[in-house]
Amino acid sequence: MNEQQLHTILQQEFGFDSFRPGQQEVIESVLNGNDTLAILPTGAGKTLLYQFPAKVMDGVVIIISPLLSLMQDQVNRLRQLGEKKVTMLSSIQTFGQQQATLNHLNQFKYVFASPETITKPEVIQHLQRIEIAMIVIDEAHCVSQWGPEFRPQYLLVKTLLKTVPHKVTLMLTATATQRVQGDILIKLGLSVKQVTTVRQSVNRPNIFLSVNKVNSDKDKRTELLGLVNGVSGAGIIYFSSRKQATQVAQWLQEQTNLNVAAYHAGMNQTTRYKIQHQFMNDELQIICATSAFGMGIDKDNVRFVVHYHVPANLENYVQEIGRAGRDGEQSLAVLLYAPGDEYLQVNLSDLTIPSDAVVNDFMENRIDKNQLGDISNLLKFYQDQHLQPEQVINIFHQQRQKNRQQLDKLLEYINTLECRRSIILNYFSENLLKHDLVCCDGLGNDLNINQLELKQSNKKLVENELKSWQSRLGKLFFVKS
Amino acid sequence: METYLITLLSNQQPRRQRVIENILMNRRTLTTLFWGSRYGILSWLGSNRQLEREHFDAMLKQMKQDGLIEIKNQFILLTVQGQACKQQFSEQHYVPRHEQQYLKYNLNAGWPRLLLAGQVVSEFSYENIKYAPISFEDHELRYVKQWFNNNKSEQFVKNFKQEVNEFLLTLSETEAQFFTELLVGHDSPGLSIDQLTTKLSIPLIDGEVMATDLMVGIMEFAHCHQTLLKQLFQDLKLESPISHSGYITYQLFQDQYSIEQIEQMRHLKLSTIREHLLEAAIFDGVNFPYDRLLTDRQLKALAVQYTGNIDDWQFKMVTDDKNLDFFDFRLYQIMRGMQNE
Repeated sequence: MNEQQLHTILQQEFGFDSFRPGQQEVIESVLNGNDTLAILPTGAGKTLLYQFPAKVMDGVVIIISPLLSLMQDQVNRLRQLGEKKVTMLSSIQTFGQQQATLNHLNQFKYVFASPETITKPEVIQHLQRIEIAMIVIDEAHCVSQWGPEFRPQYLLVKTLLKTVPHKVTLMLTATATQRVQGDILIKLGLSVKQVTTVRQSVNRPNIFLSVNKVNSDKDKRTELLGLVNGVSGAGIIYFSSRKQATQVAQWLQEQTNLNVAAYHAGMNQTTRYKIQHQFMNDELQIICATSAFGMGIDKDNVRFVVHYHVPANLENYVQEIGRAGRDGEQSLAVLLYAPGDEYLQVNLSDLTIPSDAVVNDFMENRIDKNQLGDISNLLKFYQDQHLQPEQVINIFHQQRQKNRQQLDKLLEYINTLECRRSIILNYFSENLLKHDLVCCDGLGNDLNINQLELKQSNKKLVENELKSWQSRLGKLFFVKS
Repeated sequence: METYLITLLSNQQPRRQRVIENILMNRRTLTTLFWGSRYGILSWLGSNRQLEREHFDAMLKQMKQDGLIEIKNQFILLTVQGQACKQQFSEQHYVPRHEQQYLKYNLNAGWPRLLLAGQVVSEFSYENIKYAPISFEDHELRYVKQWFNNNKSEQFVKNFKQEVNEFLLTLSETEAQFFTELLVGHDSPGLSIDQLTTKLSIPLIDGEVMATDLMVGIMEFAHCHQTLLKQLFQDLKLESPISHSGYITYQLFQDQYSIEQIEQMRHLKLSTIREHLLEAAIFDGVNFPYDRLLTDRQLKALAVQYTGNIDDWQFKMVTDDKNLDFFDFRLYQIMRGMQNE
């Protein structure tokens, strides 16, 4: 397909005049049948990377996605774009519902599933019976991720790619260091030579990077309050616990005249849908969220992202702040840090990594598997793969070490007096072009919100008073007179 | 739902802690159903499926610390203070109106169905076809799509709105407002129960109970007079609150087949068939044909053997068939319990 044909389809099917950076290269590579690893920053327009080929190629597009909430976002996005043949195999389906979906796989163009579901033998059998255009591995860095995000079934995707006939594989991620890139391909059984890598810089020059060091949790709240009152426009505040997200949301709602809501994976699907859409509709200004929020959020005018707790690593941080400023306007990322915050992360990741004693006990069946929770899943996976206890212990040692190293990098970012952006870019093996007043608060360039000239949002006036039910009914169901 | 727990307790009848927990979580063992029926709390069956034991036990611990309950050998009894608190609770909180009808419907599916249908009608009324439906479930999407296609006409939006309006007129202003604000529509995603209760200054638990109650309310309403709504909820009306397999057994029994015949027809164990019939008796109450299973002679013997408070009866073996003896005992216990009501 030549360039003109590509642009014709882009215009006719999707209504765009031009591709965003990186999109065309990925789409061409995929249409040429090359397995492709696309590393494009958040907001680069990932959906089009499989939606475009799906329009041209025969067969079903399988998308493997790590999180239920992310899948729901993506399914929603496609439906919003007018795609009807979209479905999702998920753990919230009953056995019967899942069977019904599996029996009708042919009738869908897009099938979303988690690595756990898609690698089940009976699902693979169904996949072998249908024509598959491409297999998309979304958030492909998860294949290589350790710590809380580690999902053993990602390692089975390699077998899936070998045993299920498909025309092409597309791996998508927003952030991957050189090491992770290599690791993704190894874990998926692909060779570097056979894979086309398309990479755009992780740099988001329109996001000012700032770290605010405080002494206590109370100070954090004070700083946070100053921030949300000082910046106009929508913002996301990330937390590492659901409880804190909920508490701070409630507190901010009381302290400000803004509309604030919490969002996390523990909320039911209806509530999540409502909160998400209120935010997209500008009915909410602030979301207090866990990392469950945002992977699929398509909102251009998020002006700021605050981290109330330190994230696990720079990859996650870059992903999460990337939700700000998709419209290209000046935006702001602030990480609030109190001494010792990193221990929360250390504890979180240590909790997910079993000790040597637990591994030994598990492998010799001396421990009640039900007591272990998710860890037991992981250990069982290794047991099924016939690994010896020493090998498993060794894996976990390495994992712990890697977590520490990643956290050290993040602390380096927090503690530096130099340019923060250059630390991020170095981490991803890129070079900074220039540090300036809108770059970051390093090199003595303290954050001054007024000087940043963040775009004033034309906020919808949100009515806090409920209208009568009659008027609500009238608005819901528009009857022409 | 948390503080509604107090309404499930009594100051006269010590109630088993695990039975209450199992009722809320929908763990339908025969023992749970029997005692749930004795306590008069069967309509709460499955009302809190996500309940965690830790959380449930913590609530009881708190109530105990507050002097509202006593717990002995896992039996809970309201104290004088607890009884007063229970009475006060009903005065201060939302009192469900349709509790007796809860078991007639597939409660969990009601709101997702109505929200999706409301959204489809709303978007249609604004002539918008590009939107993200609130449901992800293929079955739900198919059902509502078919309902929509079967009824689409020039008057469709008007009729739907009219039917909802008629239902709303049967509610209080607050209830009607609560109900409409929950709905999802074009360019207006609606409010969550949490947000809505804050705006209306009512406790969150009241909102949760109100949402369930109003859903049953609209399904009852729909089945009585309406067409569009009736079709929308048609498959959510349960044939019976009895488990599916139990229902089949009971139907055969009502068609005059004997237990032994049913055992052969269904290739099930005798004890399973007996369990099915006990379950049917619990749900069907006085309408159950007890006389087909307990002869006059048996009834007379049982009446001599078991006296006093029904809850305190201790099972005794009379023949060498323990399963049969227990079946007769429990059936008699259910029957007497129903007669006393």
